[in-house]
Amino acid sequence: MSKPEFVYTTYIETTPEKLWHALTDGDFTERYWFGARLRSDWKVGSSFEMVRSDGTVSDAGKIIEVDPPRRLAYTFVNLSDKFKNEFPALATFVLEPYGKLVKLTLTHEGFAEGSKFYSGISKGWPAILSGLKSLLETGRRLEIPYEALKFED
Amino acid sequence: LSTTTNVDHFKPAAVYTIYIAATPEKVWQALTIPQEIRCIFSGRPERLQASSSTWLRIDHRRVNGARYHIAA
Repeated sequence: MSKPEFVYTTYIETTPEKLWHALTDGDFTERYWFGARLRSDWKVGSSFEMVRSDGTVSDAGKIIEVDPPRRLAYTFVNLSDKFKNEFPALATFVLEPYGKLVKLTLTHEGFAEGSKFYSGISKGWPAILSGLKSLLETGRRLEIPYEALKFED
Repeated sequence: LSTTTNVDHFKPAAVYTIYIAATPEKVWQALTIPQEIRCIFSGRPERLQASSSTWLRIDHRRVNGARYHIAA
């Protein structure tokens, strides 16, 4: 049985620079990442955190690759007890410009077989990246009801 | 391989989900009205019909360098 890997591609009418900013600026991520601000100095080896609106950290990991505005990679794992035995899997963003749009490809890999965290991120990423695309293209937030993601608990 | 598949046990290799700011009716129209499919895939003045040969032809189209895959 192959290890689970998540891949998501979306085409966004924007520039690589704007998309890079949208992926790395905490004030911007708060508008499409279910209220989470990403916190890091975006240097290889630095810490990476997702910070909830109440200031608590939901997920944490490490910056692996930074090549603006082309490639960004970091590991993270959710800090709740539910995922305490999970590996910090690697999320890699690849930005490729094509005329007036950017092809964004996200891969998320390094999960153990049967990983619960993999199941969670497979539901979370489509919502986060749909919100990112809508916000960059229209300037408006996409209000996605949390229940639409259909998390198991 | 069995010719019958229990969808509850079906493990797909790839699934794509997207959230769209629209109504179900508008998305349904965009998926089913041939004229709108034409606009999405080529913009050429031909009326596409959902025959298997048409889908295969669309499968090899490139739009702005991006290849579109359609599973019929």
